[in-house]
Amino acid sequence: MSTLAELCVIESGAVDSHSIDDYESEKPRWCKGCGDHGVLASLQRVLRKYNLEPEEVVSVSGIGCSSRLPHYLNTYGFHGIHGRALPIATGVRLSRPELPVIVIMGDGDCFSIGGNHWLHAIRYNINAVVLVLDNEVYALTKMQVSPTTPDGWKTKTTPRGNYLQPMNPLSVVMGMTNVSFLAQTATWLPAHLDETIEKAWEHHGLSFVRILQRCPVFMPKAFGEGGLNFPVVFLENENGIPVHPLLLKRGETQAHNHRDINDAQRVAVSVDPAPMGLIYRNPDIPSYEEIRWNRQDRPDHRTFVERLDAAIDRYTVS
Amino acid sequence: MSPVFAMKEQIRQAVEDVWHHHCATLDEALAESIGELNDLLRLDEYNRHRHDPDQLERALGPFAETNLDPGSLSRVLGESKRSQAIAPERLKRVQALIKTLGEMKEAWSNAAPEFASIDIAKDESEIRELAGEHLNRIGRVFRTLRIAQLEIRSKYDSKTHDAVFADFNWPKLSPDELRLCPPFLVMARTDDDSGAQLRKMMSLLESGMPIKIAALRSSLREVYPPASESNVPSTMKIETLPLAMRGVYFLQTSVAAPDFQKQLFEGLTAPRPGVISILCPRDDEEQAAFQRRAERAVRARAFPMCIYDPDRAERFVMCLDLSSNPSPDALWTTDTLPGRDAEGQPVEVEEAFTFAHFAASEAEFAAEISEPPAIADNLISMTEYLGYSRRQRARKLPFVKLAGKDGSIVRKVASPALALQCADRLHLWRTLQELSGIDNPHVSTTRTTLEKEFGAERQAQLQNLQQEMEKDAARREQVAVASAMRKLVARLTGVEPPQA
Amino acid sequence: MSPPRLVRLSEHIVEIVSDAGEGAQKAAVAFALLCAKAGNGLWTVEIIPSEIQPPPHTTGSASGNRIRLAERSRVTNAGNLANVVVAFNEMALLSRLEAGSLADDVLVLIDDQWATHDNERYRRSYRDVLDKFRSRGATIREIPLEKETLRHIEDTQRGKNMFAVGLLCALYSKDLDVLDDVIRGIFETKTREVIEVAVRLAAAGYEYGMTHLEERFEILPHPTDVPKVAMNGNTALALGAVSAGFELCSMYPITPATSASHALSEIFEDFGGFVHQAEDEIAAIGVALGASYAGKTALTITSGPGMALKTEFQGLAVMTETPLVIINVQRGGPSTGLPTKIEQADLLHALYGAPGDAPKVVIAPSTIEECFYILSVARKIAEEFRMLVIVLSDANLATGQQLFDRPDVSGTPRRPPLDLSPVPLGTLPYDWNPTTGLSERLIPGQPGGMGVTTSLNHDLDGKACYDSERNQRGHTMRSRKLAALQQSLHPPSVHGAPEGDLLLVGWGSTRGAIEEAVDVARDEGLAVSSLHIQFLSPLPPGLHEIFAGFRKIMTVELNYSDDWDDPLITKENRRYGQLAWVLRAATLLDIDCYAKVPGRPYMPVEIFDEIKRILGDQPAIESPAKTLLATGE
Repeated sequence: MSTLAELCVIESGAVDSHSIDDYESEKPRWCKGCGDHGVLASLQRVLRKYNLEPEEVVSVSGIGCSSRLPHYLNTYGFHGIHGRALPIATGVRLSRPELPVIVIMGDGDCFSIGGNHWLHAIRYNINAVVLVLDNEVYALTKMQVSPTTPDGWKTKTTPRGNYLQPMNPLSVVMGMTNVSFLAQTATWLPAHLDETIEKAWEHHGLSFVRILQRCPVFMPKAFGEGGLNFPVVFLENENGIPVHPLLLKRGETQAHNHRDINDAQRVAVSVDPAPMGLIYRNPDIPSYEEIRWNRQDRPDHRTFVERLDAAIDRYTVS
Repeated sequence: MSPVFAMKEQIRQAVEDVWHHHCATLDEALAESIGELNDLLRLDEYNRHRHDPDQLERALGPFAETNLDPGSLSRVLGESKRSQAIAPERLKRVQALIKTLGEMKEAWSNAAPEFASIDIAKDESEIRELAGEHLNRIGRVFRTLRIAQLEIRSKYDSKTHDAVFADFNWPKLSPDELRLCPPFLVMARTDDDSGAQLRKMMSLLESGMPIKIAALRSSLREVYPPASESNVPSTMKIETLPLAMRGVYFLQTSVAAPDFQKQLFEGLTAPRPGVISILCPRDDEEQAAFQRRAERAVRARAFPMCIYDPDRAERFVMCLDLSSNPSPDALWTTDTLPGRDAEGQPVEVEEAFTFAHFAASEAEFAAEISEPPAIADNLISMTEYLGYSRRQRARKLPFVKLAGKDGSIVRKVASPALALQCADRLHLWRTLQELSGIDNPHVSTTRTTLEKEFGAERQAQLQNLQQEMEKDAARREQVAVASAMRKLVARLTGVEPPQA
Repeated sequence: MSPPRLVRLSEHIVEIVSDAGEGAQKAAVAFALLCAKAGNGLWTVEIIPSEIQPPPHTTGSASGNRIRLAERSRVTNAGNLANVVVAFNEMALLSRLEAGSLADDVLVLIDDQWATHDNERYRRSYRDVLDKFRSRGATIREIPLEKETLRHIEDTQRGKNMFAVGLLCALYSKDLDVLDDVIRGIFETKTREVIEVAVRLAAAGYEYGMTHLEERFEILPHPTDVPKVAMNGNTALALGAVSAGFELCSMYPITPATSASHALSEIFEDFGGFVHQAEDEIAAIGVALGASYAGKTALTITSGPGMALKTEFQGLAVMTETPLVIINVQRGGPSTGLPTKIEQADLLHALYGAPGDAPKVVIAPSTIEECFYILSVARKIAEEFRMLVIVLSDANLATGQQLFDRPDVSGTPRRPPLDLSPVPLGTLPYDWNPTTGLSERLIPGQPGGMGVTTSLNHDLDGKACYDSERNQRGHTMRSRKLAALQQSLHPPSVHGAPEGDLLLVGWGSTRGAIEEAVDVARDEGLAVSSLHIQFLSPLPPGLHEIFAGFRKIMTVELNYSDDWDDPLITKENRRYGQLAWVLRAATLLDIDCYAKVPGRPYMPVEIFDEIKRILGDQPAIESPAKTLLATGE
C-alpha cells in the first residue's frame, strides 16, 4: 500500500485501538502452572503494543499442548497436524505476504517429526515468528521421550532411563544456511520472555525462539525445578534483549556480539550454563516470499489472456 | 536569459520538482484507492452472480459440459445463507467516490505550480485568500482519500462520519499529510524595505497556513538608521526569525552550499509555514562571478547559511543547524596571504576573513573603502578594532589586509559605516553560534573544568594499571620458575611430583 | 525399377527408434508435424530408455517415438501393432519386438552399416535379428543411412534423423516443401548452417526414398481451418492450471508428474503465479494447503508414492474443509514399481486412502484435451464446495501427444478479488446448510471472522468437541456435500447402443482404445457398447438404469485383478480391478473386470479380442497380439 494511503488509513480512524482482551478468544485449558500461559500473555502484549488488528494476524501450530495456543489467541488460527506447522505457515506467507504469521510448536513437533521442515524453513527464511515451547517431553500424549529429554530421564517409552544425549537445537539452527535470527528464553523469566518475543516480532525474517518451559505435571523437576536451580547466562548487547536487573540473581551476564556468526555459533554450542537472550541476528537476509514475489509479474486481465494465448501458440500446429 | 531569471529558474526548478513529486504521490494514492474501490464493486458483482447458471458454466469450462448441469448446480449452491451483496446506499457511496477520485486525479495531473504562487507585493488579504483556496483544494483530496479508506475497510458509518467529514479541511491534516502537499509559494524580493517586508511575512506566517515564503536578495549592503553607533543596531534581521517564530521552518541558503537543491527540496516540503531566504545574482551578474561572490559572502559571515527545522528535535539548539557554513565553530575563516618578512623572504600570513574583507572586493561597497593615509600609526586591524571599547577605538582607523595584484599585501581602510556593519554581522554570527549550541561562555567554562578533572583522573588510573601489571609479571615469573624446578627434580629423581 | 504401387491407407503406425542421443525423437516430431499440417490425426508416444545414460547399441538404450497417423482428424489412442519401423540399429529394432509393439509383417527400414561393420559382434547380431524378423514375415529394407548421411555431414549422429524423415516423407507421399518449412521451424534457434544441412539431408532422404523404396503409401490429407494444438497431457495440465486461475503450485519431483511442473515453472511467473519446489511431498501439500487456507486455492502435483505421503494432509483438508486440488499422474506400482509406465492403480487410494471417513471429489480426464479443461472444474468445485478434489491422470496421458482443437481462452473469466469484507462477530465458520452441507468459508483478513481452524472434530462454531452427537453431525455434513454435488451430475452417455450383450466400463485414458475396439466389434455385428466414467466420487447418477440394458457388464482398466483361469482363484477369493470394486459395491451387480498391468496402454485389438472371447466367437484370425503376449517374446 502506498505511504499516503497508509497515512489516510491511520488518520481516518480506520485503525482501532485494542486492549489485551481483544486478543484472547477463550479461556486457556492448560494445566495450572504450565508455562504456555506466559507465552500466550506475551504474545497478547506484543500484538497490543503494535496495535494490530486481530483479523490480520495468522497463528499456525502443529499438535501438542503448546499447539493449542491458536485456540486461545484471537487471530486466524490454524491448528494443523503433527510436525507440519511450518509448511502451512510457508503457504500462508507465499500467498498473503501482508499477513504476519506466528508459528507455535513443541519440541517433538518441531525437532522430531517436523525436523525436515524445520531445517528448510530456516533456509527459506520466511518472515515469521517461530516459537518452540520446549518442555523436553511429549506431554499431550502423556509422557514419552523427546529429542531434548535429558540423558537418563525416565519416561513411559524409556522406563529404565533415556539412552541418548539430548539434541541441542541451537547448534542445529546456527548450522543452517540463511539463519537470520536465533534467541533462547524461558517461561520462568517473564520479563525476558516478553522482550524476546518482541525482538522476534521486529525482526524481518525467520525469528526462531526456543522457549524453555517446565511441564508441571510430567516434568516437575526439569530445568532445576522450573528454573530455581538452572544455570543460565544472559547474553548482553546494546541491541540485544535487555537484561532486567532482577534477572541477575538467576545468572550472570555475558557480553555477546549477536551480529558475528562465529561468536553466535560458539554460544549456540554451549549448554551449561544455558545461554539466554539474542544469540544471532542478521537483518540483511531476504525472505523467500520476498524473493519469489519480486520475480513475479502480476499482469492485468487483458495482458494475462494475451500471454496465455501466446503460451498456447507455442504448441499450435497449423 | 538574464541571470536573475536564471536564478529564479533554479528556484523554480526546485519548486517544480517538489510539485511534481507530490503530485505523483497524490496520483499514486488516488489510483490505488480507485483500484481498491473498483475491486469492491467487482467483488460485489461477482458475489451477486457467481451462482447463476451461465456464470457457473463459464467458470467451469468445457469439461463440465458433458458431466455437470449448471442449472442444478446453481440451485444447490444458491442455497447459501449468508448474503454478501453490498447494501444499496453503500454501493451508491462507493460509486460516487470512484467518480470524485477520478476527477481529482484528472485535475491534479494537469495542475501546474503557477497556480499556487503569488508575489508578496499583493494585498495581504489577496495572498491569504489564494493560499486558502490552494490548501482547501488539497484538503478536499485528503478528505476524499480518508473516506475512501474507511469505505474500503467497510468502516464508514454514515451516522458518525458524515458529521466528521462535513467540515473537514486543511487544518485537520496531520503533519505527515502536510508533508505530502504540493507547496504554496509567496515570492518576495528583500533588497529594499526589508523591515516592512519582514513584518508582512510574519503577519502572513502567523495565520498558521503552511505556506512557503521565498525571500530573495542580491545586495548585502545594509543601511542603518543614523543614531546607531553601538555594536548592535535595533533593526531586525531575517536570520533571527526562528527566535521570534519558533514554529516556522527557516532556511537561508545559496549556491555556495553543495547540496543547495536538496536543501530547497527539504525546505519546500516541510509540513509547516516556512521561510526560504536565498542569495540571488544581480541583474547584470554573470553566473561564475556570482558563485564566487556567494562563496565569499558565506565565508565572511555576510550571508550565514542555516537551517532551522522545528520538527527535527525537541530542543531548540538541536533544531538550528549551521553545519553548511565553513568552520562553523570559529568566528572567522582565514585567508592565507603571500607576504614578505623582515628580511624580504616570502612567508605566508594568516588573515581572518571578516565582513570588511568581503566588502573590499564588492562594487556596492566601493564608497566605504579607502586607501590608508601616509602616516600609519593609528591603523589597527579590523579584528582588533572589533574587540576594542569605544574609548580604545577613538581616532583609530580599521584596516584590512588583502592580496595585491603583484603578489604583495595591500591594506585598505574601512569606513565607520562599514565597520558598523562588520560589528553587526559579527554579533549576529556569534548569536547564531550560541543559539545552535556550538559555543557560549557557559560551555567553555565547563569544558576547561572537565579537562582538568579528567586529566587528573586518567593519570591516577594509568598509574594504578601500571602497578598491577608489574605485580602480575612478578607473580608469573615465580610460578614459571617453580614449575621448571619441579620438572627438573622429576627428571633427575624419576619421581612424578603431585600436581600443585 | 517400375514405380511402386501406391497403397492408400486410412491409418498407419510408424515407430522411429535409435540409440539415445541420435535424434530419433526429433525426427518423429518433424514427421508428426508434417502429417499434422496435412490435417491428419495424430497420437504419438515417446519411447524412453529406462536409464539416463544406458550403454549404446543395446535394447536398453532404444529411444524414439511411435506415431499413429490417421486420415480422420481425431485419433484417440496409440493403436495396435506398428506397421512401419525405422531403426538406426538392430538392437533398437529388437527392443520394439520385445515390447510386443510390432506387427509380424512390419516393414523394417534399417541402417545397413552394421552389416559390414568392423565389430564382428555387431555384424552377427545384425544378421540374427534380421533373420528373426524375416522368419516372422517382416519385410526388410536395408538403407545406407550412415553412408548417405556422411555425404552431407561429418557427424552422422546429428544428421541421420533428418535423412530418415525425408525417407518417411517419400514413403508416405508427403510434400517435401512442407517438410522443408517444418524443419526450418524446428531448428529456428539454430545457426543458418545447421538449418541448411538439415534441410539438405531431408531432401537427400526424400530423393533416396523416391528412387529406391519399393513401397509407397498414401494417407489422404484433410486440411482444415480449425487451428489445432499438439501437446502432451502434462503440458495440458500446466496450461490448464494457468487458465484456471491458480497462483501457486507446490510440488516435489516425481516421475512421471514432474514435467507438468517444468512446463508450469517456465511460464507461471509471467501470470502472477509461481511453482514452489518443497523439501518433500508432505511439505508440498502443506504449502498448498496453507495457501488455500489463506484464501488462494493452490495446486499440488504428484504420482502414486507421493499420494501415499500426502494422505494425512488430505484428511486435514477434508476435516477443515479447505479447498485444495491434487493431481496424481498415476504410474506402475506398488511401491516404486514402474516409474515411467502407466497404471491406473490409485483409484481406491484416492477414494479411501485417508484415515477415517474423508469424503472427497475424484475426477479423471480421459483425453489429453480434457487435461487442459479439467482444472477449471476442479478449482471451482473445490472452492464452492470447500472440498478436496483429486484429479487422476496417468503416465500415458502425461507423455503421449494428441492433436486437438486449439483452446479458445478469450473468454477466460477474471479472477475475482479476495473477499475481505467484515462479518458480524459470532459468524459461524462452518455454517453448514442442513440440506447440502455447504458453508461459506472465512479467510484471514476478514474482520470479525477470527477463530481457529482445527484438525480436531468440531461443530459449526469451529471449536473442538468430542461428543457423539457432534461427531456424527460433522461426518454427516461433510458427506452430504458429495450428495449435493451428485445432484448436479448428468448420467454418462453410452457409446454405442443403449442395450446389448456386453457393456464395457472404463475410466481415465483407456477411453480411446475401448471405444475403438467397440466400434470395430459393432461393425462386425456384435452387441457391445461402452461407458466412460469421469466422476469417480461422487459417481454420476443413472448407472443402474444404464447397466440394466446389458446382459453382462465388465470394467476395462489398467490395474491388477486375478485371472479366473489361475490356480486357487475362486469366486470367493478373486480380487477385482479397482473400478470394478467400486461399481460392484455401488450397484450390487456382479460386474466383471478386464484388469491387467502390462505397463503400457491397451491396444484396441486386445480389447477387441476380449470382447470376442466373452461373446463366444472364435477369433477370426490368429491375432498376432495374442501370440506375442502368450509366448512373451
